[in-house]
Amino acid sequence: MITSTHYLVLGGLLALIGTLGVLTRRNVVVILMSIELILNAANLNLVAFARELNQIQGQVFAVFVIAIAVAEASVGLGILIALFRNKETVDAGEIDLLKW
Amino acid sequence: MVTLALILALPLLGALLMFLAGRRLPHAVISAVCCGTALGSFICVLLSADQNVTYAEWLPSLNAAWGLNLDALSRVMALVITGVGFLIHVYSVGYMREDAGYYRYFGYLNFFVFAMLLLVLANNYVLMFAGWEGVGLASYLLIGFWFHRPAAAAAGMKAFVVNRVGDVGLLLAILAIQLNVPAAPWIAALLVVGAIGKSAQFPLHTWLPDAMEGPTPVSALIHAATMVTAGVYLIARSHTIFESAAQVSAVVAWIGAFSAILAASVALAQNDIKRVLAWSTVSQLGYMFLALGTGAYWVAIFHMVTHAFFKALLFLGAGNVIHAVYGEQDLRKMGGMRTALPKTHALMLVGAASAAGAPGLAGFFSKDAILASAWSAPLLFVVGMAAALLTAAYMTRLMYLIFYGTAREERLHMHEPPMVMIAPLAVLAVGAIAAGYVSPRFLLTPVLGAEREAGAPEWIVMALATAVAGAGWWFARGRYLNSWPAFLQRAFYIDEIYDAVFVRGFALGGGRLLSAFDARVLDAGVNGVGWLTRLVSRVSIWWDIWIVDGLVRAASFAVKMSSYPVRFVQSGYVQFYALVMLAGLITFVGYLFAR
Amino acid sequence: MLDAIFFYAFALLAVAGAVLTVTRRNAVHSAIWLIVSLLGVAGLFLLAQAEFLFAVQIVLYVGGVMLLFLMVIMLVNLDRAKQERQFSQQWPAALALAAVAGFGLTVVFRKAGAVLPPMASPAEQGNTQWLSEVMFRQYLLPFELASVVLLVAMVGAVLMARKKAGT
Repeated sequence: MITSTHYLVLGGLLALIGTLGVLTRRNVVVILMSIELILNAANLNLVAFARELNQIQGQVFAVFVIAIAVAEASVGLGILIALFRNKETVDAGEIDLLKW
Repeated sequence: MVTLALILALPLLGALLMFLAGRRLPHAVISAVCCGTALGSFICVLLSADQNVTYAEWLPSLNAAWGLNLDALSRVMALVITGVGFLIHVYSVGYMREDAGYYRYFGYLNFFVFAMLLLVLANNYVLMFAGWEGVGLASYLLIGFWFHRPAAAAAGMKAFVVNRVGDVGLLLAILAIQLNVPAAPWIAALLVVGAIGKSAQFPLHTWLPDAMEGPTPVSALIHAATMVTAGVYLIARSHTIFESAAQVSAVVAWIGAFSAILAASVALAQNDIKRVLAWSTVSQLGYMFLALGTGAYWVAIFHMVTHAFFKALLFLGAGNVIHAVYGEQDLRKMGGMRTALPKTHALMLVGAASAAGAPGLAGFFSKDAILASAWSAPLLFVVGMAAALLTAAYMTRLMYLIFYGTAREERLHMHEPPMVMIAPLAVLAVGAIAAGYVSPRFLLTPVLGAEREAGAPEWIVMALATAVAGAGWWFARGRYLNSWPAFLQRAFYIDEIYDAVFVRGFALGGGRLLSAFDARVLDAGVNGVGWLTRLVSRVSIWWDIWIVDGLVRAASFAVKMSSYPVRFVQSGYVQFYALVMLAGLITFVGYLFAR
Repeated sequence: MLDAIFFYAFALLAVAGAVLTVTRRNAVHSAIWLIVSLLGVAGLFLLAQAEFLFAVQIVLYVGGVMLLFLMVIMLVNLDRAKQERQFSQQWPAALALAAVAGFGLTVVFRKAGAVLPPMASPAEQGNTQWLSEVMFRQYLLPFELASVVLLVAMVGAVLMARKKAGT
């Protein structure tokens, strides 16, 4: 039988893959996609707990997470376009403006 | 009190307006503003009562304050400055019409009027010195007005430098006066140094003929009518000091007499129309100094007034002549211009006759009064008479060379200038005739004191002066075409002597002497000191490198080493930050679980 | 049994899609594989009786966000990026950290294992109705806040992606 642990393991797996993507890929577009993966993993967990506890609140939170994820994606891509226009690159390894 | 301040404020405001916004103003506005301020100042002088007002403290330690004093002496001076100044402003509207620096010219001119009024109206010597330097600055700027001409720039420089020599004396004298140093003869001597610098008397007279590089109306206003008489005003204003220093007064009289005859003889030989007038100015100022030296202070001021009229008239007339022949100033290339310039001829004739001392005109009376004051010193009287003879001679020569005989060079289109350049001359001509009948004697005597009783029989002096003037005319009219010895044309080589002695002699020779001293004496000492210094510096270097630098480097090395881990963390790459965040998160969560 | 088959199928889809998203060299391929992964997660939502979220996942993510990604990929010229190294130099450290985190997760997950009961609303409502009841009553203020956040994000995105400031 499928238990909540199945969902949690799957969520953990997706989150790890997404984390690796964020930490290792140099292309900023792919980094943003990886962030979407992590958020999806969180949603998966919320939905699983909602079913386990028979409470709809978990699904409500998932809706909020999706809303924030959409906002994050749009702003992130806007920043990406501004960055590309100014620096002609989408390589996270070439951008060190956070220094100083 | 208000009108007194307005006398100064009007031309100052005019000058400021020109300097700040003049470039954008149309010529009509510039002319209206600048002539208007001069005329307004003139009216304010007429309206103000005699008074001595101190507006504010300035330098208490020097007894200096912002204060103005209007009495008979400064009123006469101020009336000449603003009156003649206004006429010359009006004349300049025509003369400078085509000039690109129109607003600049009028700004300088208004500034000059302001500074000159400050000079004569200041109620203490320190404030007067500010005006004194102000007119020097205006003079420098206006002589070098056409600064793209090297001669004009050099002439401005020369005027400035020669004036500095006199100003040193004046400054010392002012300090002594303000600090109440009890040494009247020395103070008087220093005042004389200042006065002869500004008034172009021998031996500091060389700058004035060169100052003719400026625009002709400027020569009329600054270098004939007003600024150069500042030295006369200075001595007249300080007459109490001179009355207690008889020897210095005698020196003043002799400087004046010598300058008068020297300059008159040089004027006789000049070929440049403006240089004739410039040397004539030096000569007439010499007359004023002669009067000052004999104690007839009001006579000097009297001659200064009549001189302002006829010399300004002559300069402006010369401006008309130059205007008519398109900038030519050489008398040898003129001649026979009476028919082309009838009005200018008539007006200049009045001025020249007045200057030469023709009976009944203004110059006759004032010169007469000067000669009468010198009656008690026969030698001075004779020199004065000789100078009067020469004056009549060079004035005759000047007029004949310009207006009579035949034209020595063909010229087309000679014409009278516009009305705006004739009318001021007419007003000045009236003054050059009538000023002699309005003797300022009773006006000035309360301020300057009566002259010592000369006891000169009035009619003898008059007859002698008339005879001398007639002789001068008779002598010159037959030989005005003669050319004169070189030493007269070169003004007794005084410029060349100064150049050899001061510029080349003192500056270069002194420099050579100094360099020899430098090489033999100073260098030996310097070398010894240098050797010692090198020894000390070796030790110092060693100390510096191993001890001082060692400490500094050790400190910086320690900082550098300790900074490596911190710098490594601060890489600026967002992914590295995310990695560190994850590591921190894992550590934290692990700690929570393991606890 | 059927549940298990579907679960493993969707889980495989999600994990394989995620792995390929992270590893593909071409960003467009990454995007396509992300769509696959998101579809897998949507299927899992359906299995967990979250029908509304299933619809939202399909419409919003696959339809909206991925369209955005693809358009951005086309806007920024990525030909050059394809030729370069795809992974940063810190990948060993990242891998090690991920391994530590995965180990930690396995330690945690070993205990649990409740069988999932079917969901049932107290008032016999359908999933979407139940969700909206809770959302618009209990979570009205967060809902409104989320809308404000979305508005700010929209304005910010437009502002930053604009050609030049002030034009």
